[in-house]
This record gives sequence, structure tokens and C-alpha cells, in this order.
Amino acid sequence: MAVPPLIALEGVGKRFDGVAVLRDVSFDIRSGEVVSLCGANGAGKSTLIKIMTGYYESYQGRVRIDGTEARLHSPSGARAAGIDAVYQEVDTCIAPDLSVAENLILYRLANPHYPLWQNRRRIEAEARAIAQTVDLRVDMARPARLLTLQQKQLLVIARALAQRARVLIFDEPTASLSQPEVERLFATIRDLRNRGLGILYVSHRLSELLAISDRVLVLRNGELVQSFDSVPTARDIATAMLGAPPPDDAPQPYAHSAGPTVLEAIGIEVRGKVHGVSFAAARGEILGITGLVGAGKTELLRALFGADARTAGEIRLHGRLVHIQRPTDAVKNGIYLVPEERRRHGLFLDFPVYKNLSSVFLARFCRLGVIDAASERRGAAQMIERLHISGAVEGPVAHLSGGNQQKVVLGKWLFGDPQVLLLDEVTQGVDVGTRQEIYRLVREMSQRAAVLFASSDIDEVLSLADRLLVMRDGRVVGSFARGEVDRQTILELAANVEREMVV
Amino acid sequence: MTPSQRPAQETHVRATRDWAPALQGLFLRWGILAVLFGLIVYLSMVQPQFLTITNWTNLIRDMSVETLVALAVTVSVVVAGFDVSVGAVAGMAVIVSMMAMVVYHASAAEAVGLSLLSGLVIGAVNAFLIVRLRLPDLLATLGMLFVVDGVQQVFVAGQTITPGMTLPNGSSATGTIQPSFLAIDQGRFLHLPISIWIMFAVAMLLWFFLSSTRVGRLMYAVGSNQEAARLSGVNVGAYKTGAYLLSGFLAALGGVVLAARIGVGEQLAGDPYMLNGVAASMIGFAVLGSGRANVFGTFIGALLMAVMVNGFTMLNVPYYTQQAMLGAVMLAALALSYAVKSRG
Ligand SMILES: Nc1ncnc2c1ncn2[C@@H]1O[C@H](COP(=O)(O)OP(=O)(O)OP(=O)(O)O)[C@@H](O)[C@H]1O
Ligand SMILES: [Mg+2]
Repeated sequence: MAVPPLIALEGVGKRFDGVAVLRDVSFDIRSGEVVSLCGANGAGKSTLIKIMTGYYESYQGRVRIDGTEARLHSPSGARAAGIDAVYQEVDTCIAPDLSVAENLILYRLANPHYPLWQNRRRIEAEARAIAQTVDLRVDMARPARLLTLQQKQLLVIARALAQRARVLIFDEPTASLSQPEVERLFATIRDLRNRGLGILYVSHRLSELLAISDRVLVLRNGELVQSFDSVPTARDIATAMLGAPPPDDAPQPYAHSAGPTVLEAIGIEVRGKVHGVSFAAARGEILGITGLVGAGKTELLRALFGADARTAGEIRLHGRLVHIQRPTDAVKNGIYLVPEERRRHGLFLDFPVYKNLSSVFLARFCRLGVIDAASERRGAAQMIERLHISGAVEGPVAHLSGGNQQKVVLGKWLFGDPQVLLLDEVTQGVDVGTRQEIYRLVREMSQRAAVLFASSDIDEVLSLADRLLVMRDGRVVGSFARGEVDRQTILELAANVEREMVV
Repeated sequence: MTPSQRPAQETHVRATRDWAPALQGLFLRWGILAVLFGLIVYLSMVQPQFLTITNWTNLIRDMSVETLVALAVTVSVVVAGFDVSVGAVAGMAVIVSMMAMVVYHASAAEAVGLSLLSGLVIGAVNAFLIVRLRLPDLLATLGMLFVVDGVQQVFVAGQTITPGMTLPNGSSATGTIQPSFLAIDQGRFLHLPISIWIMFAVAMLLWFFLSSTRVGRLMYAVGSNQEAARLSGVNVGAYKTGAYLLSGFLAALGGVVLAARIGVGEQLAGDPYMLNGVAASMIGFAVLGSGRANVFGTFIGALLMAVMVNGFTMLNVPYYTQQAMLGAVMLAALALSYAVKSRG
């Protein structure tokens, strides 16, 4: 008899308030293969993963592990069945104030049979052994919150392995990782595959899917519409995802002449994060900013927006010095920031979608300080339409899929009249179709405002930006016009220390 | 699992899918109102005097102080704060208004004005502690509770403020309590006690303010995610300050009504209202499944408690049993509102 697959889903489905968001999904994963799952925003990927990891108490259909039915109605049930996941928001499964060691053996600590009396040395020795399985080299006594995103991911992987996980799910693990980090993660994933784990990998970056997967599954509107047994082309995947051939994503042939200079940043300093960054940005051009995670892109944008204190430096707008101490000042001056961390910094999770959209420029929908409900609804409906926000748009924004939440975070700023638009990883978690839409939108906004487009996805920056800055360790280490530089050079600059002298 | 077990499980899954969540949703939405309605029906049946105009006029008049104090708590909770100094503020307003009239010959209007001002001042200090010094809301207002209670005791030096009372310098107070002041609770307008009108007017205004104005919406935004609000250009500190000022004002207004009701300056008269106010505000979370602080819910919470106290007193339920029952209702309401939050 043939060996049963590691995990098999049979007719799995899920409804919310009577609406089916997942219907009759069946597939399996065998030991030693990486299966990718893709689909447009709201297709149901995260819901499927949540079912597999025991997040929901009830769902339809069956899941078999090694041929026997598994009961995945709680996270511990799923872990006991050998399924674990690395979520995009890794922070949600790490206890920030506990040490790395304690986090590594968190599940064991939670086990009622674990000895009540804790010995720090023993915990750390145990944890160190676990960390070694994925080559995580950090001080075991550090609080976990001090780790980098990448180290946190490794921590979660190691912890899952220690629990004898056999199926490991990655939900958009690379959404804010840059190239070298992605490669390191892929090396880890391949290693896991070679150890016989089954991997389910979710990402909106199609090039990654092609690089890592053995098979590709495509979800559309909650249904499994296609299953590629060998690796298809990016175009095939996109066609299956969207139900139609994707819009051409060739770099837009804009031969832009930059307009008047809008923003001048002079010697911007943020203690420990940004060191003497100066540049100018003009209307009509998109200024890309790229670099590894932690290079200071986010910190630079936040400083320009007044979200973090500058320790030195000035900001000029249309040649005039402006005093930006707080975000309120920035917004008054037409400087808008679309932040990187959407859940923490961008959304009122318990507010409905329309209230999130209207939140920044609420005065536009008010008469004498009283909200005109009809005009607010109308404005929101237009933005929902314009950005193709889909799913449960009537409910709280928390119920939208990740990519659709991201569109809300962007959309709430589009009611304003920007002079400077600071975009931080604005396409993270957004599907290929809408991504093109956002690029078009950014291009359109650049006619009216100076646009700073920060992204750790080098290809995206290369194809969109008219000019680009490369950052490393809080400094600008390279500045190029479109076409002046290639991917490789940027990568070296972003990571390499020797090239610094050249600039 | 044997094949014979499977159909059973499938029916179970289907059952939870179709009607259980709907029923659960219905319960979460209407639970509190159903309890209130059931209680009223029950009391009407066992106590003929319960459902009379006189009794309900008294009941609603009795709840006016609680409601005002509860609304004060609600406003602070909207910005994700927590004002537990409201009872002390109400008590302070009692002392201030009585002292103003009895000792300093103030008119009724002056007495009211000074009381409300004292509420605003305490609200401002709360806001300073929380926004500027960044103390946690609960600790700051708890500290203020003690300070304000202490100040009251210093003011009255262990006495009750009444006309003719002996002052610390040996002379006796010559002012009187203005009848127009007492009329705030004891007078009537269109057959109803004025305090009822005050309560309804304030509740309606506040409801409109919080649900339909820009400032009200942004207060909720600050409460929902302070950092996201800040990064949306909202001056978070100003909104929190505004909320605590409003909270102090509403609590002091409750104190004014209370002073007009008791007619003497008793120290610490407001303290018992704090817990009831917090309870009403929290019960309000669960009304109509809103899951957040809101004016209508707070009003229903206060009404539910007033009906319980009124009815149980009629039924001669001992005071301490009433307390236990109130507590149980509040816990049930909280359970409901957290169920709303964690659904999905
Ligand atoms: N608790 C909920 N209540 C109602 N609808 C929900 C809830 N959770 C998810 N949904 C809906 O289910 C659908 C699928 O969402 P899901 O998060 O699985 O999408 P996704 O494929 O992960 O998308 P993305 O690529 O944007 O992350 C969406 O339309 C979403 O609005
Ligand atoms: Mg998702």
C-alpha cells in the first residue's frame, strides 16, 4: 500500500456569518516537499492556515495526518498533530519579555507535566540545543523582543521543530524581508524539506514561489481552482489567481522630468538609527529608498513625519523651513506617512472599514463638526471601489484579509492633498493584480506630490523609482537615477562594507 | 474514528454552523435588554406598585446621579482611560456648592458654577498626570480619589455643612441653602423632577457628541488605537485631556444633583456612586453587542441597576443581597461583552 501523505485536507470549508469564505478545499502534502499556496487578497489563504493550526473551533471537512483523522480544534491540538506555523506577524506568537530560552521552550513550560521548579541554567541548556537545530545564534538570556525579525522567525521554526512538527506553514514570511534575508530563510526551508518535513508556503511574491516550491496550489474566492504539479511560470500563476491574464507588469515607461523640488531633508539624525541623511525630492518623481531590514528606512520616514524625535537636521518644504515635531505638524504641512506596521500603526481594528478610511480627513465629511454620515459612506464606498478592497467590507476592519487591510491603510490618506507622500512597504501583502494598481496610483500621486517609496523589495524599487537611495546602517550609501544601477550593485551596496568607500 | 461515528459529527458541525452562531449572536446583542425587560415584567407581576407612574418617576429620579457619574466614567473609557475619581468629584461638588451658599452667601447659580468648576479643575489635574506625567490612568485617578476625598474632609473638618453650623473661628455660618438650588432635584418641570430633565438632556447631548461629531469619533479612535491615532495626525494628548475635563464636569454635575437631593453638605457623599457608575458603564459595553463604552448602553446599565435596587427594596430583599445580585449582573454583562469581542 502506498504511504499516505503527511497531511491531507478533504473538503475543508469555513463560513463567517453565513458567508462561505472557503469551500471544499482538498489537497495533500507529502514528506519532503514544499507546496506553495497562492491567491489574490481575500482568497482564503490565511483562513485555511488558521484552520490547519487549530485557530477555529469549527470548520467543515476533514484533515488527516498520516492517513488518520486529526482534530484541529485548538492550537494545542494542531501542534499535537504535528502542525505549526510561522505567521507573518511573528510577534503574535512570541512572548516579548521572556528570554529567548524561555520562548524556545514555551510549549514545554506550558505542559502541566513540566517540573514546577525552574532552573535557569537547565532551561538555557535545553533551549540552546533547540536553537542549534536551525543555527540560531543569539544570547539565550536576551528578552525575545530585542531579536531581529529574522531571528524571531528562526526562533519560531526551532520551537516548532522541538515539538516534532512535521508540517510547517509559512504565511507571508518574507513580506518585509530583503533579498539576502530571504535567501537565508530559503536555505532554512530547504534544509527542513530535506529532513522530511512537509512545507506549506504562502507569499505574494511570485518569483519566490517559483524559487522555493515543488508544487503550487491556487485559491480563488475560497476555492482551489488550480494545482500545478510542476513549477509553472509566474504568468500562469497570476492568471489562475485572478481568473484572467494579469495586467502587464513591465516597468512603466515613464520618461519623467522632475518638477520643482518639494522636500529637502538636511542632515537628518535619529539617535542610533539614522545618521546625517540629506536628500531632495521633487514633484513628478518617485524617490525609491531601499536597503536591508534595519537599514533605517522606516526610521528615516518616521523622523520626516515627526513620529520619532529627530536629534538633528532640518526639513524644508518648497524651500521654506518647516517645524515638524509631531505627526500633527506633518499632516498640516501635507506630509503623509503610510506606516509599515499596519495593525499597530495604521488601523483602528475594531472600527468598521468606512470609519478607518475616513479617520484622517474626517473634517472633509463634516459640517460644523458634525459628521455627515451619507457623505462619509459615499466617500468610503468610492475608495473601496478604487482600491478594489474586497471581503467583509461592512464589518470591522480586523475581519478583512491582510492585503485588503493594507489597502485601507493606504486609502485613508488618499482623501488628502499631499505635498509629500512617505510610503513604507506599501505593497506588503498585496496581490499581484492590485500591486500594479497601487503602482499606477503612486505614479499618479507623484504628479501632485513628492513621493518617497521605501521598500525592501529591490525589484519593485528598481521598476518603479525614478531615482533611488540605498541605505545601510542608517546612512545613505548610494544614490542613483533610473537605469543607472542594477540589482546586483544595489545588493552589494546594501550588504557589503567595502563598497562604502566608493560612495 | 469508526465510520459510524462520522455522520454524527457532521451533523454537529453543521448545527454549530447554521443556527448556533446566529442564536449566540442574538443573545449577545439582546441579552442585557432581555434581562431588563424580564425583570420589569417579573416585578410588575409580583408587585402591583412597581409599574406605577409615581414609582417610575422616583426610580428614574433616583438614577439620575448614578447616570451622570456613569457617563463621566464612560467618557474616560472611550479614550481607553479610566476615571475612578468620579465619585470623589461628585462628593467635592456637594461640599463646594453647600459651602459656597452656607458660608459665602453664594447664589444658586454661583454655587452650581463653582461646583462644576471644581470638577473641571480635578479633571485638568487628572489629565496633567496622565497626559504629561504619563501615569497609568487607573493609578492617577485612584490617587486623585484619595486626594479629593482628603480635601473634602479638610474643608468640612468633620462636620456636616448646614445653615447655622459652627465655623472653625467659633462664629456660626449665616448663609442659607437657596431654594432654587434645591429645586434642581426637588422642583418639577412639566410634571417631572428637573433632575430627570437634566439627566436626559445631558445623555442625549453626549450621545450625539460621541456618535455624530468629529471630536467624538476621534475620541473613540484614540481609545481604539492610540498610536494609529497619533500617526493619523490626531493630537492624542488634547483628546485625552478633553475627555478627562468632560469626565470631571459630568461627575460634578452629578454631585450638584446629589447636593440638591440631600440638602446638606455631607462629606464623602459621592463615593458610593463611583462603583455603580463603573458598573453601569461596563454593563453598557454589552448592550446591543457594541463591545465598547457608549452612552445608550451606559444609560441601560444604570437603568438596570436602578430597577434592581427599586424592585428588590420593594420585595424587602436585604441590602447586602442586593449588592451581591448587582455584582452578579455586572459580571454576566462583562462576560457577554467579552464574548462579543472574542467572537470569530
Ligand atoms: N472573522 C471574520 N469574519 C468575517 N469575514 C472574515 C473573517 N475573517 C476573514 N474573513 C473573510 O474571509 C475572506 C478570506 O480572508 P483571508 O484572510 O483568508 O484571505 P487571504 O487569502 O489570506 O488574503 P491576503 O492575501 O489579503 O492575506 C476575506 O474575504 C475576509 O474578509
Ligand atoms: Mg492572509
